[in-house]
Amino acid sequence: MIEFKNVYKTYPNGFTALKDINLQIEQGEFVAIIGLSGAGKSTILRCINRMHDVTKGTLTVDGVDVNSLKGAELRKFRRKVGMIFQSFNLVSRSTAIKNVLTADVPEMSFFKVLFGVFSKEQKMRALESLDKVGILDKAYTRCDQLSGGQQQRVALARTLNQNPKIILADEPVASLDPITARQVMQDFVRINKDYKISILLNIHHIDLALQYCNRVVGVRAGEIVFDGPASTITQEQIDYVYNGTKAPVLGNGE
Amino acid sequence: MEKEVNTLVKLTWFDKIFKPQVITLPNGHSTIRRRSRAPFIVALVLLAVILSLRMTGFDLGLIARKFNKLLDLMVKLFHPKWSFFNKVTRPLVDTIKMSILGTVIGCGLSLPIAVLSSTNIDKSRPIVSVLRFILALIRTLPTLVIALVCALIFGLGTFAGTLAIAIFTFGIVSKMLYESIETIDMGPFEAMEAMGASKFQAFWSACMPQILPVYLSHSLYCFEMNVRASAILGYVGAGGLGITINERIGWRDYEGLGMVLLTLFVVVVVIEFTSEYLRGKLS
Amino acid sequence: MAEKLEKLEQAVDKKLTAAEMYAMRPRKWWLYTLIVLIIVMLVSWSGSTIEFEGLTVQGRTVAQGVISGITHPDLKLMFGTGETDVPYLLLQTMAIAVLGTLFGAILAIPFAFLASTNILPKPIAYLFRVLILLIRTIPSLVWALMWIRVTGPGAACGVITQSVCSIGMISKMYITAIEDLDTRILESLDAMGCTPFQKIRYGVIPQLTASFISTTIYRFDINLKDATTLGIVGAGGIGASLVQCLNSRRWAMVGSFVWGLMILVLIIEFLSTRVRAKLARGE
Repeated sequence: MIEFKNVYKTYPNGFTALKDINLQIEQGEFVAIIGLSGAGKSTILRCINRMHDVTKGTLTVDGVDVNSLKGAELRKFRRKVGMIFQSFNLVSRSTAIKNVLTADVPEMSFFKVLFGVFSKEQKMRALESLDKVGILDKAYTRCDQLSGGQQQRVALARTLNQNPKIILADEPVASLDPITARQVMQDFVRINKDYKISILLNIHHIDLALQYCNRVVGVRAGEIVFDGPASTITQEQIDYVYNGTKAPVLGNGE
Repeated sequence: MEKEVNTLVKLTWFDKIFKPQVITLPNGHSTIRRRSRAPFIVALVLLAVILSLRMTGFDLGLIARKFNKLLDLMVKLFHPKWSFFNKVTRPLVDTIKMSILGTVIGCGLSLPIAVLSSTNIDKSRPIVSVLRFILALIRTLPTLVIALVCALIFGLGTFAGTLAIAIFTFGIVSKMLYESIETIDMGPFEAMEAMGASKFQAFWSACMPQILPVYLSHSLYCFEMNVRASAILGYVGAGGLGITINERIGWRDYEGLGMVLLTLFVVVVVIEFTSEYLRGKLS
Repeated sequence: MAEKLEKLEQAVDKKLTAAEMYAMRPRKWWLYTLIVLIIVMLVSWSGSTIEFEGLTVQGRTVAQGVISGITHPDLKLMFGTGETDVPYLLLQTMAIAVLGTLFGAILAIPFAFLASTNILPKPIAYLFRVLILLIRTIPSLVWALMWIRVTGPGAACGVITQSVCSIGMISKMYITAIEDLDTRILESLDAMGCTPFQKIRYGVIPQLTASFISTTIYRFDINLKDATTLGIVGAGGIGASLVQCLNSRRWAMVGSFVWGLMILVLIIEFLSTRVRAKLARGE
């Protein structure tokens, strides 16, 4: 369970990205965070795994106060939280399986990391992760030869390989074409159902968010302005999240 | 008007002396055209050339008059003394050995230093600046001068040459490498950190696979340069072909020199082609 | 290899399990082992004959001398205005590099066009490439020793040496620029009814100037460093004095020459990098 209690986040340059965020997400939920660029969507995700520090308030994940974690404890905590990026963040010169195997690196000894030695069990587990996202046949292909959708699946496999309880996805489909984007969203739905992993994703495409996610959180200028099941959100509420500008979906309202 | 011009384009000191021209169309729209710098630059270059000509006492007439001397020499060079080949092999092998060892030592040292001089990996500004300054200083020293000092300290021979090449390689490969490291994709590093990897683990698994091919490619390129550079180090007594070259010229044995240069040419070409092929494979 | 690819292709058609995929993983360890083995062999082969005999008898005094020279340079020499003082010699070195680079850049233009495969048929172009390679392989010191027979010792020898040596690298880089020419512009000029001369003037030259100038400035950078060593064989510039002082162990003078050299090269490198960055951005 993820719990934000009166969380504020101010950047060193004085910009307040989050104001008084209160949010509770149960294990196994599939949540979409929507809002304009710069509204604070990314900051919310990055606070959860402490890629950013919280300035004020408490943020607990499974009862652990995230802000109190340091060094090795923090790294251990991050093992449970997977993260997916818009630009995939793969080592594009390496093969798919090598990228997936990097998920094991944090738990390996210095010399094994130094020489890149992985056991057969680790390799089998990596291949199984690739199989879960349906690109086992590309295991030994270099990532720069894969399409965008395939690369995002390798990134997903890498995250699955660390066996997380939560997956944070920062604009996972923003650089994909519409059809591939749907396929990747379906992958997320399947993983959410099959492995009971909580998924939080930032997304620009409202139609995708409403179609695939259970719950929608609307963020506007650092504040939560909507929180509820995807099925109940109205056109007015969407408009409000987007500062009164017309959202590009759902026709002319109800 | 003046104010408008200033807001439209950033003016440099040059524009302040030679004011930009404002062109206004009949309909009142206007655009500005900066004065060309070309005449200014051409004048500067011309001045430099004239001063240089006076300073060096360069005289094309003299060269034209004595050009037949060079032709004589060239003709002899192109009739290499084949029998001399036996005497070329040993210094040639020495030269190659010096280059290999010098390259390996220099490149080995350059990897950690280059990593520490890259702003995207090393966040400590003072360390980066100090390292870069030291590298820049090393690069300003001519190889031949380094070789001469080494020869004075460690005695004439291949060791001095190897050391000089190692120092030269270290300076140049470090610079090429940190420039390349700064262009690598830091996304995977971020992803590794998000997975709970320590900074070292993230660097080693996410950055090294990107750095390594570039590193090897730069090293090979430097090896190519080193073979050529080390051929002359012998001139100051640092071992290798240079000694032979110096000796042949001293004795005015241009046929022998021709043979030395021919062998060097063949070796350099073979090494360059191999290295280019390998570097092509790496990228 | 083909067999392996076929297997992989079958894998795409037929759903494989992870275990099956693991069984057909590419095995490359032997390749890595081979590379490491080759490098180890090369290094031990080169290391075997590099004679290290420790410091020479005066090695320690030389090392101390160099350090004391650098920390206590001869200030009178450093800021004097006579013809044997550092500022004059540095200027002369620069003058050699300016002329050498300029002449080299001009001489390289015909070579580059003659060696470009998109302008001349391949056999002829490759012939000129071999010639360029030949010029490039002969070390600049050797060129200087040959030209000295024509011009006699002095700065003029340095100029002519650098003019010839620069042709090699400059034309190599020009060729890349020429072969990257965008020919679609020529097509559109053709469509507008331009004559061949007009096509060259407005279609070819604008595309080449920036990269030609950038190459020339880069070469100036190199030539300046090179000019400092040419003095060693008597081709003018600061090198001759530096080596004389080194050999006669006048450390304070060595120190002032080295400082002068480092500062000059650093300044020129800084300026050249900035100008080339501006050129690349198209300013």
